[in-house]
Amino acid sequence: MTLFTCLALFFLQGQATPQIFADAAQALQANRLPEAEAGFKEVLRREPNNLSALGNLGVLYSRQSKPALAIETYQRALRLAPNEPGLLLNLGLAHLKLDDYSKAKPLFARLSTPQARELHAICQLQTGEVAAAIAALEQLTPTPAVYHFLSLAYVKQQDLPRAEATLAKLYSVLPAAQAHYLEGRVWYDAALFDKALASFEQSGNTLEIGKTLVSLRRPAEAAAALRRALADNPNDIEAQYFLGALLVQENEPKPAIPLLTSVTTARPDLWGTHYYLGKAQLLLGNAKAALPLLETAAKRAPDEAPVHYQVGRALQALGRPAEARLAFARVAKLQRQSNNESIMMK
Amino acid sequence: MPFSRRDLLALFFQGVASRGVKPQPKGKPSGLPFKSRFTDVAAAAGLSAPVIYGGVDRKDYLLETIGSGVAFLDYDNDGWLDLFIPSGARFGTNPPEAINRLYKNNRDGTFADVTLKAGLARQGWACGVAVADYNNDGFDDIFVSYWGQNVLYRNNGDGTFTDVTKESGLLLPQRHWTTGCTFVDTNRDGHLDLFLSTYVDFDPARIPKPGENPNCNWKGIAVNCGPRGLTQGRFFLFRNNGKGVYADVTKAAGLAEARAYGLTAIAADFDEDGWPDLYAACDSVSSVYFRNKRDGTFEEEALPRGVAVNEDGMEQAGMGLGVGDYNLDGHLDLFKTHFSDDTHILYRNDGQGNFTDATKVSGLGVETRYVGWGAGIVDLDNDGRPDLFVASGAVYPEIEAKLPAYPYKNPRIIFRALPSGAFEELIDEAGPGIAAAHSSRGCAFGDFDNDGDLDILIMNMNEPVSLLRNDADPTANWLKVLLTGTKSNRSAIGAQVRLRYGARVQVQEVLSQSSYLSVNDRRLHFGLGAVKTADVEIRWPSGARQTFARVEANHLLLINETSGITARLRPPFLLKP
Repeated sequence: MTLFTCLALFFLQGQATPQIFADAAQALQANRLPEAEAGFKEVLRREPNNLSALGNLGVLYSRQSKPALAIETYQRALRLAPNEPGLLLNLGLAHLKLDDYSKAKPLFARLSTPQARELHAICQLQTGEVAAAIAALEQLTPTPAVYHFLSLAYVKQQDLPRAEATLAKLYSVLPAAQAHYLEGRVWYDAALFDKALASFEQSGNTLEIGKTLVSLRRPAEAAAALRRALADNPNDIEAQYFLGALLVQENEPKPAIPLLTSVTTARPDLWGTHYYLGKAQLLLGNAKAALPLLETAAKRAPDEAPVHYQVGRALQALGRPAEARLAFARVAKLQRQSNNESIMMK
Repeated sequence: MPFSRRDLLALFFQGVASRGVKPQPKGKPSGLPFKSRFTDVAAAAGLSAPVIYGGVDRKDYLLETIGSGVAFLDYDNDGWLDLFIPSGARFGTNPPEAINRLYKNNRDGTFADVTLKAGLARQGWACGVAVADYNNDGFDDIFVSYWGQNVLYRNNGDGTFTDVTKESGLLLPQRHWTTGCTFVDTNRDGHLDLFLSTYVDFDPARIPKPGENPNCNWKGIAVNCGPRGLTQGRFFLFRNNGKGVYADVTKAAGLAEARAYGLTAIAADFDEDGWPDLYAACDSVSSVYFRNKRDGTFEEEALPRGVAVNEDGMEQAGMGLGVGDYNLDGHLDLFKTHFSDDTHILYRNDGQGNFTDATKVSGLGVETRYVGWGAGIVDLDNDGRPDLFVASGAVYPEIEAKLPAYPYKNPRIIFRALPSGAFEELIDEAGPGIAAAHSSRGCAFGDFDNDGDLDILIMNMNEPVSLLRNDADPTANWLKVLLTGTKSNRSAIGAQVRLRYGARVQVQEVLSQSSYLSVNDRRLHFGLGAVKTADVEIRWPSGARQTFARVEANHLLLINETSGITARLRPPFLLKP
């Protein structure tokens, strides 16, 4: 949808280098992402303020799951067209990929489409404005998504009867399996994992069953469910990730490594995969192999103290105490920052 | 594919690591009998006064929630353990019975409240207690930490105490919420210094009301605020000049910059260099480890030494600390209790003060339901393998009505040591005193009835204390050691006793605070199982060493730093007729 918007912008502008742009756009549509990226970058090299190229490059980065780059690109585009609805929406969606609801919320607030109003209400829900979210969601045309988030909002208000009544409406608009799935997502997001498990079992979604069993601290059953999910779809990256990470946490690093390596190949942007791969190598006593993986994770997640902690441990194991101290100092600094941000004394 | 930051962190926060942790599944029961049974004999012993601590049904301030420690001590040197119970208070009208209490052991299973006679009646928000002979006059003194001013009570040796806080230089320049307190001879001059931790900068007028802030909610229900969101506490070190007068050397010692929500404070020589190190369990943030640099200064090294966080690098809500040698390798390990939805943690020491998180491999991940406070690495069944003990209790009494899954009162927990080296959780199997539900805080381990096993004294919020009498297997052997320093401080705080029995070796250290803000019996207790003799090696704080070979089991050894073993007493260890 946003791609079309940007294409339209391009034709309106009628800028130079149209063939490069058209080829890049075609590559993007065909999911030939490296080719598309090279094309849009070439357009931007020639015309740094080409709005269409910026917009499409942002879409490309989002598709590559590089939300930080996407955000930077959309922000650059918005400096050229501050009120462009497609850019506002896409920037908001990129923030959502990082669970940064507070940054996404004002962007959606500037838009008036039903989709943007729904996204704004979701942001309100996730930033603690539960009553406002409920009021907004109740104004929207009921859809399965609206029912889903409204139910979650009621759960957050400790109003389980209304949540359950709202979820019941899903069954009149969706096939039972999908309704069970969405119901399970509500309970899962509300950390009511026993209820989530019951719903997911009704839906037959083995991946969600496995993830929920992880949360219920039933690792053997979780691993079995995730393996079933992988038997159904060997390329399910999410199942590979959860099973690999679970095995690492359960001190079974060897079988985790091929799973996590597969995820890394498909999704090199995920810092969590590098983290668990590094931790697996640490468990195997191979700090030399662990360190670059953990350093990659730390580079991609610079604000996650636990990642820096593992970097420190790997450096200690390698007999590099001075560098380890730097990593631990980073952990301490992040912990202090986190605590200082929460200070609420009057 | 819906991968977001939350997905990446899912395994941290939703079940595998340290927050929101669900318990590991329990394995099959070992089938091995636990030859020890605990019965609460507090009422029969005359311990009927409730320990007042904040509101009963709701608590508007964090101050009302943390409770206090308790102490086993022998204030009159008669060889029988007496009890000291610090008291909290109540906002609004403070009941007159809300006073610290001293109970004298009547040597017949009962106690007499001698608080008024001893001059120890005091109201206020007491938290922690430390016991030691700070002036080396032969009688144990008592330090009590408070929100407000702390108090040092000098034991006059005649059954009375005198508040000497001001003349000993321990008055703080302003009000603090001191929690952890432990005597420690940091410079090994034979005089006990004092290490303190404070919790938060607490002023009721400046703290949001329940529900006013995201940190003032728990599971969606408005509760009192903190500690997260409140200004962190700090640490103090006071040096004893040898004449019973203290000087604040916090800054010179390098402790002034550290900040944390400090609770239980301990001092022990973890890196085995002969100098005591300092450690504090800290709530919600990294715990702190101050390595003694042997020149009067300390270096904070909790992260590199592996005792700040858990193996996943996650901060935990540290409350109480057990110190002991759980794996019988001759090194002091640490057991730290935490909030619910998290495991307690067991840190294994390599002997050089570097620790490894051994929680999962030891089987402790099976229990995450309760908030843990008092803690011990103690051999409860005298089988020669130290067990773990946890006193538990929720902090928000108002939650239970809305969320019945989170009761305010919880059972105690024993993790009994198995021959495999792992632990097995016991509640109902260890007697009614363990299974009974209370909202407990501090606990202390000691042999109040002098019968050769460890009993447990437990503080319960707004209830009388529990006194759990241990009826352990009478065929299992044991050995107790009571040390008296001459060149070292008289209480022998910081002395390490290493016992070799059969193929095992176990080390313990004399501490003046551990568990949760509490004081254990200063007589070190070793279960020996079937073994009937042990070799005893003592390393005194002065550096002096003594060894005693093939000591017969089932005795209390009185050992003097200069003259060696002065008495071998069989139960009931009477020192005076």
